[in-house]
Amino acid sequence: MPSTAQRRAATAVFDETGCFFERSHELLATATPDGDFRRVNSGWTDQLGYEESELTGHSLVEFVHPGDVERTRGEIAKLAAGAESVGFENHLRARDGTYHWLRWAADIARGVVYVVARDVTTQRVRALSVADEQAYHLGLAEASARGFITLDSELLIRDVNEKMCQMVGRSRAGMVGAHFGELIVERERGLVEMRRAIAEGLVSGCELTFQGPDGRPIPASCNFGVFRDAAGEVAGVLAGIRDTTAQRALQGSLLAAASYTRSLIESSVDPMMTTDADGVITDVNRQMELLTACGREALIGSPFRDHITEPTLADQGIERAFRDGRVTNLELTARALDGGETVVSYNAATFADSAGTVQGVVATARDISDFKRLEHELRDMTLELAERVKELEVSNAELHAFSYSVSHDLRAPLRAIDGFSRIVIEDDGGTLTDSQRRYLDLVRDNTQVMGTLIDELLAFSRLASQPLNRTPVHTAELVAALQSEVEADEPGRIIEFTNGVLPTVQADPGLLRQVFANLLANAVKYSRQRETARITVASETRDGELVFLVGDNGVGFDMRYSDKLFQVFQRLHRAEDYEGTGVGLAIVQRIVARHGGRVWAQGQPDQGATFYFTLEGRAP
Amino acid sequence: VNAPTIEILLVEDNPNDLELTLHAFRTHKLGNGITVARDGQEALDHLLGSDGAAPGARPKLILLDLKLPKVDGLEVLRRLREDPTLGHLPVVILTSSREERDIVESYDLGVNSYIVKPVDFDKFVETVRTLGLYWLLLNEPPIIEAPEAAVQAARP
Repeated sequence: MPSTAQRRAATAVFDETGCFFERSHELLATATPDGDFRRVNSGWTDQLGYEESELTGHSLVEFVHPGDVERTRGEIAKLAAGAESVGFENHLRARDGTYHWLRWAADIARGVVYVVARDVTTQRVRALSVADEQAYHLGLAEASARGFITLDSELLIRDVNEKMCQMVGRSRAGMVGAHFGELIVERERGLVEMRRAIAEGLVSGCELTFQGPDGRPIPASCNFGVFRDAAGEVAGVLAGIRDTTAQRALQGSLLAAASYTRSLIESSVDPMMTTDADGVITDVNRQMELLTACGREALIGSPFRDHITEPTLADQGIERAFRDGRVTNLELTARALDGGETVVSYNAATFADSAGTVQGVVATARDISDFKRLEHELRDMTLELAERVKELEVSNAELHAFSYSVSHDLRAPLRAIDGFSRIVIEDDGGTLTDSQRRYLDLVRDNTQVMGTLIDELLAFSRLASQPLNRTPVHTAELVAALQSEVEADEPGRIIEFTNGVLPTVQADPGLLRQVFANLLANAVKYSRQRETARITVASETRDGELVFLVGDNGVGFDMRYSDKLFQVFQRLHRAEDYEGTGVGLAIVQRIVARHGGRVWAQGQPDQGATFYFTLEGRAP
Repeated sequence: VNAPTIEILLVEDNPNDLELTLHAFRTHKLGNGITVARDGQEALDHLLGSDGAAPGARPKLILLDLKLPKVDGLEVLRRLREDPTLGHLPVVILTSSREERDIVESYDLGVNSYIVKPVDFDKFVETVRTLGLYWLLLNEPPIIEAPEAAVQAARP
């Protein structure tokens, strides 16, 4: 047991110690062997912000960073296990929640742990950053996608990173000590750039080609930076090298794609352009240059409206394209620099970047001036045609009036001539001589011929205006009926009819009857010198076309005159030999033509004649 | 008989045709009782009366040319057919026109017969004879409630 004096002395000593305790800049504390604070000095309040009461009785561990708890417990346990002192560092939480690096020194004496701690946060951070920076830079260099090379002032390689090794396919050991020039293909240029770097301190974006694995050239973009020693002398060069093979390839394919797109645009027969939202032209193709007679440079940057005859319409078109996303078939007239105007039809649509933001309008023009011209021509032609039709109607009406007049008025004088001649002959009291009578008879005969002529001519002219009424016609029946009539009209003659295949055709029955009647009459008439007249009626198919034929064994004709056969009033025989007006075959020709067919004849003098006709144009 | 007898009203403007027609009628002793009108208006005046003047004697037959001055034959025919007392009067068109249009229109208007004058005078004479015989002797006209008709009906 200590004496009172001892205790007093001890108290005095204690007080002195207490003063040191309180005044220390260190963090001082006593603690239980378990690590509970027993007493703390004011340093804890000054440096970490804790009130004494907040610490005493609490375990040190409560204030330690969770990451350091385990270690801290370990150190405390060492003391408890008999170690005289421990020293360690850990993170301690300050009152404001920040962590401080504390360096601890603790020893144990008589069951009391004496703790001295110092806040080493500042030194600690500084010490760490130096080490970290080195590691960081090294890591950065290694992790970098760039190759790195450090060179000494002689351009000998001092170090390379892993990426550089991969890039050139050489080991670190194989490169260190080698000359930089060995790595590159264009050695001279590389060295020039390098010397420039040394002279200027920095070169960036220098394109060099490195010798890759298997001699493959590696295009690369290089940055060179000089580093200096403490004396400011050039100690070496740091080279950052980026392999641009992939980029080149990408650029190449982008270029190829762009050039492909461009060639598509340029090869378009339609003028194309892009504009921004204000209608200012941002790109054009060659056709657009031709359309406007403006160069590409003049076009780009100029407002689209300047090249259009009605600028307001152009503005509206661009506006509409931006509003609706597209415009179709907008008709505008482009005005070229040289004044030429072209009607074009515009199709436009907005285009966006990869993010979907509308960038502008791409517009394609189609030159429709030809179309417009044709449209106008068509309209003019239609109008002209309508006029012609009207004229034709008028002339048709006139023709009709004319033929009506002929029909009515031409016969009357004939009848008068015939009638009065007849009356003279009738009333003759014996004063007329025989020849006078004969002349009067001739006058009368001629009036009859004239009458027939008028009738046939009228029939012929009526054919032009008469509507065609196509119905199925059984030509076999039609021809047979006509042949019976012919036989009845020519009782004294021997006529041998031979009929071939006569099909049913689409034709105007009355008019087709007229054709066969006229041809049969012709055949009968010109074969009358034959003892037996042989008349053939048949049809045949020539080149897919149905051809009718009427042939006879009569006097025939000279082919030299065949073109006159079908003309009105044209005859190949003298009137006294063969009666007729020369209208019959002309009527045949006209009827056949009205059916869309052709008529022709073949013959030889004294060898008979054959007439052919078709009723429609060639079968499709 | 006191009443003016008229057998035929011949409406013809062409002097030659007129003379030949009359000659033909005379040849067949049908020349009596023919009244001539030289244009359509004259024919209408005769049949319907004009300017207060009373109509002339009603014929048994009208021979009507188509192409006539003033009022043409078709118009004369239309006016006759519209008239309540003359609607049934036999009308024969005697014309040079063989036009289908004229023929159809004439029948549409109710003509009794349509004859094309032959150019051949012999045939013409024969035609006129046939016409006269048929319409004046064979044909039985309808009884018409008119004074002239009564007179005509009284004739043997």
